[in-house]
Formats: sequence, C-alpha cells, structure tokens
Amino acid sequence: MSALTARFDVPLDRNAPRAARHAATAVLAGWGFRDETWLDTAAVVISELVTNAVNHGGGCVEVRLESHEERVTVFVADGSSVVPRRREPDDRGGRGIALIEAMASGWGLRDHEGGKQVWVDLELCPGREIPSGPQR
Amino acid sequence: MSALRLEVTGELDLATAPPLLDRVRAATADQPAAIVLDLAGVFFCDSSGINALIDAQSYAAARGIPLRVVNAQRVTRRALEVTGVLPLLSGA
Repeated sequence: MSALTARFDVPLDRNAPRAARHAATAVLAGWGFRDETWLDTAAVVISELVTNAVNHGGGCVEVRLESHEERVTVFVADGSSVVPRRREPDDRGGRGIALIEAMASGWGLRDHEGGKQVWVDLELCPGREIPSGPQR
Repeated sequence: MSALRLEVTGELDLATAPPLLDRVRAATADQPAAIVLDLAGVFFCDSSGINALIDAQSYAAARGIPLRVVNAQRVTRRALEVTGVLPLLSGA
C-alpha cells in the first residue's frame, strides 16, 4: 500500500478542536483504521494539537494526516511560533503534552511557513482492515 | 443531606468546558452537602475537559462543598489516568 494523505483547514475558535478531530477520525476510519480505542486516542491527540493552536495561534490551523503502510502521522500547522512546552504535571498547559506523550509514539516540531508545525506519530492501530483494490 | 448528582454527557473539550463550569457554579449556589459529577455519558475528554473538572472541584471546595467525579468511561478514564488526576477527582 502506498502513502495516503489528507489535509484540511479549520478556523481557529472554540469549536475548532471538535471539528478537527471529527473530520480526522472520519478520514482515518475511511482508510481502514477502525479500532474504536485507537480512534479515540487519535481524537485526543488531534484535539490537543488544535487546542494548542487556538490558545496560541490565530487565523486558521492546517491539519494534515499521512499514512505510510501501518504508520499514521498527524501534522498541525499554525501561524504562531509559540512552542508547546512540557511544564509541571500539575500545570494546566502540561496536561495536553502529558496526554500526547502517553497516547502517541513520538512528536516533534518544525518551522512551517513563518509559523510552526507540530507532528505526532500515532501508535500502531490494531486489526486494521486494509481496503482492497479492485479485483482483477 | 445527600449529594447532588449532576449527569454530564457528550464531549468535554475547549467548547464544552465553560458551560460545565457554569453548571457546577450554579449548583453550588444551593449549598448541597456534596456534588457528584457522573461522567457515564461522556464519550470524549481532552486536557480542556480535565482542567474544567479540576476547576469545578476547586471552585466547590472553596465553598466547602466536596466534589467528586464518578463513572469515567473509556478514553475519558484513560485521559484522567495518564495525567494522574483520577485519584484526586475520584476523591480517593
């Protein structure tokens, strides 16, 4: 199976995290990632990334999903260079990072068109049903 | 006096955290002996939701009203566990 990609923009307001995670999990389910627990986990990660963009960014956030074989990476880019930081665990901002670190296999940052892009590698999805191509 | 039980449903995130806090603030006005937030109907919770639950508990505690969270399910429970707040919110 080759790479699958999807990208969409979400206007940054209080409803952005919900809109983004619902759209993203619909795409992921369509790619055959249908394990409910895994999709719930993906939804938390995406919600955290977009919430961070709402709190620190402006305008729109760009969500990009990439699947290479069994691996899924989520990219969220916004126009802010404010970097999410791990703080004390009892600190409000630290809980978002703690959730991402607990629910994903890795994450990082890169510069993106004057702002930043956060990427998160999701854990492998159990029991993925790979969509089959047309029968020959 | 028995505890006031509030059933919370749907998704807890940036959009729904403020109404949840408003609901708890309103509930404390009647000075119940305790408040129980029943999360059985909550099917999503991220850090905004967790912060709202912590804030609700602090707000009630400042008015002498113990507040605890029960019946967190699936991803909500996992989110509370991995951030280490489940014992605090459960009143354990």
